[in-house]
Amino acid sequence: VSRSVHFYDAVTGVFTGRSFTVSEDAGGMHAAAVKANTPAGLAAFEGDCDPATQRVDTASGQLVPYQPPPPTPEQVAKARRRRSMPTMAQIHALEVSQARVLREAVLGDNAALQRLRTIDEAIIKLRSEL
Amino acid sequence: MTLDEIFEHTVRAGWKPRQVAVGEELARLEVSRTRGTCIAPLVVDGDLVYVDQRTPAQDGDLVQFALSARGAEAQNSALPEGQSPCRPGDRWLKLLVADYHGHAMLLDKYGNAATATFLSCESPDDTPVLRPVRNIARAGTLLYGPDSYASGLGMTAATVVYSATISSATIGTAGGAGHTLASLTVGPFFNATDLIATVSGYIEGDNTSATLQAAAWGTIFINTSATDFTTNPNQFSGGYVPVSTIEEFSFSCESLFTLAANTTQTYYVNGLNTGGTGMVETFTSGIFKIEAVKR
Repeated sequence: VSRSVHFYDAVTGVFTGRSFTVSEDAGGMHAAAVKANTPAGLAAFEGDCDPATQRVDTASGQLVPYQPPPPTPEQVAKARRRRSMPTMAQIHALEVSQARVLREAVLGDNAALQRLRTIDEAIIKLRSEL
Repeated sequence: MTLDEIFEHTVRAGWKPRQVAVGEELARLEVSRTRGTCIAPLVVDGDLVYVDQRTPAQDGDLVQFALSARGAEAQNSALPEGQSPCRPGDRWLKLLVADYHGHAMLLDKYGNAATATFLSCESPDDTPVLRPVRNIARAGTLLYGPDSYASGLGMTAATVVYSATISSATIGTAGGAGHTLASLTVGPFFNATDLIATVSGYIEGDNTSATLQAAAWGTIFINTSATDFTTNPNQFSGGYVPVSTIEEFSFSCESLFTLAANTTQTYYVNGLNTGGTGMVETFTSGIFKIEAVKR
């Protein structure tokens, strides 16, 4: 059994995504442990909360609805790159696989040329998804 | 700590029942008079032990159990001269170490140790029935009163666990300064403690440059300074990262510390990006945990 607190900005009441937990075995040390582990400028909220949709009303200490700000252009671009990770992995795997086909094609295997075209078409298709 | 050191250490640290039984509660406990000296000085010849038959034993308990036939056979195979043979079903007392490399072990002061299944079960597949000693009477006097206190966990288990979660923390850009990703302030404890500090989570590498990034990404340090980027290094590598690509991998590392009694110390997780130019690294969905174990 343990006790947890979530940290929020002491001015805005917005949760920071950080939390602290100490086991019940700490006994009477719990309050002191929370105080010692609360970063400067932050405050601790004990209880269930959803940082994505809630913040703390710093006047009352109660949870209130919260609308996070829209993502910045940098965050949008990064999210797009993250979504492209599986596609990039597929492209990488196809490019790795072409080494053998290339060798066979260079050595005169006509069927290897068709296999190369198939790989190329697959890569072109994947690139269009990025 | 080896098994033959644990008993001695337990005595030196001041063993007490995990949950001392006194007053009316003693009436519902089973009382046995003991013979022998195998777990002296915790229990000596002639002591009365109060055993709780309704509560399962835990790590660090003195436990009572019925000796198995194979346990009795092993004991009787090298019986000292003049000692009566043991019989299956005899009630024995030993010190329980609940998890010693995956096995529940029963110890005595002579350095003897056997698995709980061997001494108390007829088959390795059986579950040992071990019952904790809740108080001891010696020469008509209870040894432990209601103010006796023992930690909620035994000496081979964590006594207090601290943890901090981190949704996202920047490790930094290549060539730049390092960053503190998390910290925990631990203590004070009445006893000196061993600390096991563990960091786990995901490390994300964002290649914002126009060149392929090399496999060496950076280093995580766990130490006692927010600006120490040399002590306890744990290098990490997430593989080559193509242009305009984000790679991510799971990471964990561990460092050990000791903390003197009645002191407090802050421990930091510091990250340093040693990747190529344009590599931006972030620690995500992480947890920094410190388990404090009584020494």
